[in-house]
Amino acid sequence: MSGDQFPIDLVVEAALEKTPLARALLGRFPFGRVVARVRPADYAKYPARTLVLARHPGRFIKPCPGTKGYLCCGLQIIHFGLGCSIGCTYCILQGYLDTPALVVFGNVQEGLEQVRRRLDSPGRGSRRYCTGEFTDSLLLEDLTGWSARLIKLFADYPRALLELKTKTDRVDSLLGLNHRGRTVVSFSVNAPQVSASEEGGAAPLAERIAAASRAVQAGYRVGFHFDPLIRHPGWQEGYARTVADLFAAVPAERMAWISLGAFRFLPRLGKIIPERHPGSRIVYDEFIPAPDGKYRYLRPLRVQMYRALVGLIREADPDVPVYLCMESRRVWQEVFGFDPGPRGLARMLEARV
Amino acid sequence: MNWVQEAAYTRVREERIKEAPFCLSWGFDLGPLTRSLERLGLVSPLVVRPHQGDYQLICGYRRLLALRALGQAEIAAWVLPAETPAKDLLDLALLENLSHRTFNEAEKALAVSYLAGLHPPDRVARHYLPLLGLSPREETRKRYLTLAGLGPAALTLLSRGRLDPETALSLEHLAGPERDALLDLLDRLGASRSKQRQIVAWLDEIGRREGRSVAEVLAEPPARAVLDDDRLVRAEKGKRLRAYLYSRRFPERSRLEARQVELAAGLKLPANLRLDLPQAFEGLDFQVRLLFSSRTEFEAGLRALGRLAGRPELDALLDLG
Repeated sequence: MSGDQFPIDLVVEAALEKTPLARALLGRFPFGRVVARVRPADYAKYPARTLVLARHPGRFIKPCPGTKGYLCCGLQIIHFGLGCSIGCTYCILQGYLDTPALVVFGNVQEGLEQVRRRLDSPGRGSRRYCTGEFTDSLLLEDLTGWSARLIKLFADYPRALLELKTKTDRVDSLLGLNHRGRTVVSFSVNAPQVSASEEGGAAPLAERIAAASRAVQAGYRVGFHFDPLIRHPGWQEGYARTVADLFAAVPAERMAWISLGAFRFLPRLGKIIPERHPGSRIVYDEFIPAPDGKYRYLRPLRVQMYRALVGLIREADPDVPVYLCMESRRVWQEVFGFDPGPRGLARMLEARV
Repeated sequence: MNWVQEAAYTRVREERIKEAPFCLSWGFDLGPLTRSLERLGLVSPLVVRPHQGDYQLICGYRRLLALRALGQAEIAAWVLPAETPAKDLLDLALLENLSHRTFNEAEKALAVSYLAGLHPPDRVARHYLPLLGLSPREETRKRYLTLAGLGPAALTLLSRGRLDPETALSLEHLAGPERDALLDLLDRLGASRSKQRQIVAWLDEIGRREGRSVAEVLAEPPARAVLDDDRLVRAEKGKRLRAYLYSRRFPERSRLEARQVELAAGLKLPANLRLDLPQAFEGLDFQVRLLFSSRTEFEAGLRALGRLAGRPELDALLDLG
């Protein structure tokens, strides 16, 4: 992880100034300052490399919004911050957020209480929760400790599961925690060439895999997300190498799941990527405007990639759960020979809790 | 200060008018003005300013060209004080021109580029862009500045309405000669705005994907064969070039679409039965429409539908999605 991904400035909302997190952060950032109020509309005005500790005024748990016509795994998202400085060319946040700064929600107790209340009375909703949807789960973990607190909280709930998603290798602060098997540490992985050319300041692939191995040694199950799969010259060999590296480093029985998701993007992102990353060629492949408004690889190209990856994974281990992220029933059918139906994918994964 | 009130009316030798620092005319036809001047003479004098022993032209660029063409040696002019500031000269040129005509896109771009040299961005955007009929936004100011920097070939096409401004902006990153060659091609094809955008976007995207220049893509034999075929009329040439570029940009999609068309034709549906194929090969719904105006036609249509269900082409179409 390169150093220039980390914040060098700090802004704290006054209402949080006395909290342990704010005090700890103010102690680490000599030029940190306290401002009267930080509303969501203010996030965009803070520059890159600023950490904004703000009070989150809304709900901390939101269902994954899914996308029309494509099967969703039904995760519940724990929302503890916004923005990512890793700088992947394909990052979907570029199309959603106008926030160069990194925003972390500082009303941690309130957030944890909301999570605890939900876990105490889960109802019929999903029992799988994740962070890392609007920010990387572990990018700022050494500064904020949000993930550690969630891991400890979930340890008390044997029927729920927390998934952390990261492109970093920053797992060491989690290794000694008493997680009781209630947390899956997941890594976004890719072919070596994609990782090197499109993933900015992410930890090198080998270091992510090494981090996964350390997490397994600490008793965690791990997940791997090949998302986004990106076609590039030699993609078959590239993904084969990554799959081989994963199975060489992590015992299959410690893999909670592997997901596959082909590169997709909103039209807005299709314009942003060439502007911000002129060296990237990923938007010049064959995409079609899909019914959900996103551009997706032409279906046969997606199916070709998924089949190749599923084949590689099955060859390494026939039992590791593999699923497609936000794919159509038709594609499921063509890749796996069945489609799980609208709620079937969520049920499949609930069985892994 | 109102510098116009300080101006002196006189006649100046045309050869002493050496430069026009704020020329706001681009892409015009001098014919009507020349004929008018020939018949009526100069009704509205030029506006000039003394400069290094000669004159700078502030207003009347077209009139000066036409009078020169008519061989007029002395021309009536208002002479502004030499110390008139550049900002006031540009204001005068702008307002005088805007008082009797609208600017084409190239002229708006020129105006914005002159203004940018004399005023801060915010003032250009908020004060001057509305005078030009443009929205008072920084983004608009930047767009027109970019257009002004594209060079004479682009400005000429813009002034004639033969180049889509959006397309023009997308050419910014090309080197001058390559840009001019592409502009020449677009002009020769006479493509509509949307087709210009397609051609340029596909050329650009193919080039970026494959690390090739626009010129290299256009030099490929299939493209050359279209462009060099003198038997083709302009519209047909444009159509074939776009078809080639589309197949280069989207090879797999083109192949599937061609296969889809071939299979649909193989169904040999009667005229009153229409099969609407889903777009994008995402496995979406097919639609069948049966047109009828009598029971006989309806029953014939149903029989045709029944036969359709047994055709292998239908299965192949469904597989394509």
